[in-house]
Amino acid sequence: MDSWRSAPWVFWTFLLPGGLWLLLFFLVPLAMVWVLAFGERAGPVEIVVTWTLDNYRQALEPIYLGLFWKSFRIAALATAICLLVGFPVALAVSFAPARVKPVLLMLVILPFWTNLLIRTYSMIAVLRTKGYLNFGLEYLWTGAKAILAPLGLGDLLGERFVPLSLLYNNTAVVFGIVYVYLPFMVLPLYATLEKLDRSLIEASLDLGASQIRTFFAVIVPLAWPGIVSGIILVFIPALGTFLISDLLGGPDSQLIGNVIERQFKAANNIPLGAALSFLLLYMTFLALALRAWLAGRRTGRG
Amino acid sequence: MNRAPIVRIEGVTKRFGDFAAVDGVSLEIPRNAFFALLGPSGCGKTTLLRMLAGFEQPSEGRILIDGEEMAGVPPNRRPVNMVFQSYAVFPHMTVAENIGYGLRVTGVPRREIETRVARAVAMVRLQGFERRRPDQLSGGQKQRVALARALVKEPKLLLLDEPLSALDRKLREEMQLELVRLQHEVGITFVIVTHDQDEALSMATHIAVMNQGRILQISDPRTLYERPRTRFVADFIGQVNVFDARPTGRRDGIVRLAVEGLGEIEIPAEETAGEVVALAVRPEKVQVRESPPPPGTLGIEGRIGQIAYFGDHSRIFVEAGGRRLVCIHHNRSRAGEAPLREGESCYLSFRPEDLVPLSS
Repeated sequence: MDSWRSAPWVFWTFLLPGGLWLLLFFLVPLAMVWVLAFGERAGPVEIVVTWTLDNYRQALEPIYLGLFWKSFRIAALATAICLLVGFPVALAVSFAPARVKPVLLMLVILPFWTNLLIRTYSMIAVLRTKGYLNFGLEYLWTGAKAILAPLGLGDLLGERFVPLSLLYNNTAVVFGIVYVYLPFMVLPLYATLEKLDRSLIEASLDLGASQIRTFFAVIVPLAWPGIVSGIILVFIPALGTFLISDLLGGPDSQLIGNVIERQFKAANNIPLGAALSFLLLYMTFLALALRAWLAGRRTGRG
Repeated sequence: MNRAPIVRIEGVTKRFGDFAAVDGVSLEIPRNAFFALLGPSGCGKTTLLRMLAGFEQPSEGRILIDGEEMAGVPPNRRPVNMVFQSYAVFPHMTVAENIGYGLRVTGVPRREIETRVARAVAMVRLQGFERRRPDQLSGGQKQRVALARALVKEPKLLLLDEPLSALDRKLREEMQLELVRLQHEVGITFVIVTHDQDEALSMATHIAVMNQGRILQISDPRTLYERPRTRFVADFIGQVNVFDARPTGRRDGIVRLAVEGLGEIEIPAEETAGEVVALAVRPEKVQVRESPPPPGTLGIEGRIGQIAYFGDHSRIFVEAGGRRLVCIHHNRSRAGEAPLREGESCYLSFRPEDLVPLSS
């Protein structure tokens, strides 16, 4: 590895393609959007950059702040559910026998190989009024009715099966986000739990701690880097999601991502869309700074 | 004073699939012993230790600690603590937090935790390190944290799984003395697993030699070294010269043996356990000399093959009758005395009573 240092041109040559790509197709467009946030509409397609702060002022109006807050709440709820569901999964996979581990990991990764749009549409097929979930419930309802009716308790379940409205509401959006982003939670958790020295868990038990105590006093603190990574990986994309809320949400499920998309397209107010985008980006930076601070607090003590 | 053994292991077998890691082991560990389980890697000694800790359950047989049956008792409810091979010091806690962990989780009052942790810290000589984190400690210091963390719980039994294997030689020798001192100080029974015979011989009061899941011999270190009962034990503990032997007769408490390279030898029958298959003699009982051995001693003529010099002594390998024998020669020669040289012919001599009969 020493030759790498003695020959810096090797390093720069390897860096060049990726670096150029990021510069041309990420940083430059990002800078353009940043500039556009200070522009004014001068015609149907024309935008003049006047360095006005009006777009930011508008973006900070209560209606948009409310949307930011709502997106934050939904993303946070979905992230929390991902953590609660993902931790046991990651724990189970990391403790599974070496033989079945790859299979279990593949089951976690499998949804990645399906297009996001298809996955989300398939959720519609499951959740809608005449969807598979309601079919299943109706099947159970009919069965229960057949058992209860001879006992004279048939009325308990009502006259007819009333399908649940599972789609086109905020619950469906949270459900969709959890479904799509769960692997992003499981994989970093698995990576840290896999590295966890098993004798630390045994030492905790040996010293008299119960399994539950061991989980909270040893496993969770040592899995902390994975927990933080998982939260970041789920929370940030969930915060800006618009496809899931568009497809699974109802009229009141508009998230900030939907509004931004509309400004850029249907509403044709690119400067406002740009300002909203950058507000979202600043919030993300804040989250990352929080993460750095949390990580520093965990390891930097003493 | 309670004289009942602290541990009784009765017919314990542990199978992993078809493989019996521990195969029908029965033994007793006396109170206040420094008990070593010694054997090559894979002999089942760690599995036996983990069954005492409760991390593995015996497939057959039972384990009693201080008279109590341990079947179904989980590790966190056993009066036993363990020092792990990797130390398993919690990386997210300070030294003091590590040592106090076992008291905290069992609801000991904070005041008491503080005094007991302070005492444990002093016992392993870590004063001044209480607020350090494990990544700021050396291997030896982590070892001490692991020891203090286990001892502070005042267990009936302290289990040590190859505790010194990760330390360098000098530190290892230091820790050997330290462990013996600690054991005297706290009066807790120590059970140590090791593959290092020197470690077992220098520290333990009792040594159980294991191979392939079975216990071959349990003795004090001196008996184990001087009077090994089987070929495996003689070979595993220290160096040894082994002569194949075959019993040819027996009368009046004397067993007559035909010994390869030494001819007919008679030994007292009470020294033999089972069928004798070989006789062994330790290298330090063998003398190298230039003249034929005096009467009353056994002698073999040979040629010095190789000399390994260790300063205070040399290990001399002698080719004699197609076999290679080893003896230890103490280098106390004064000026003017000719040193031994490779290639010279010589005699090896030893007293018949230093021959130890071995069974298979």
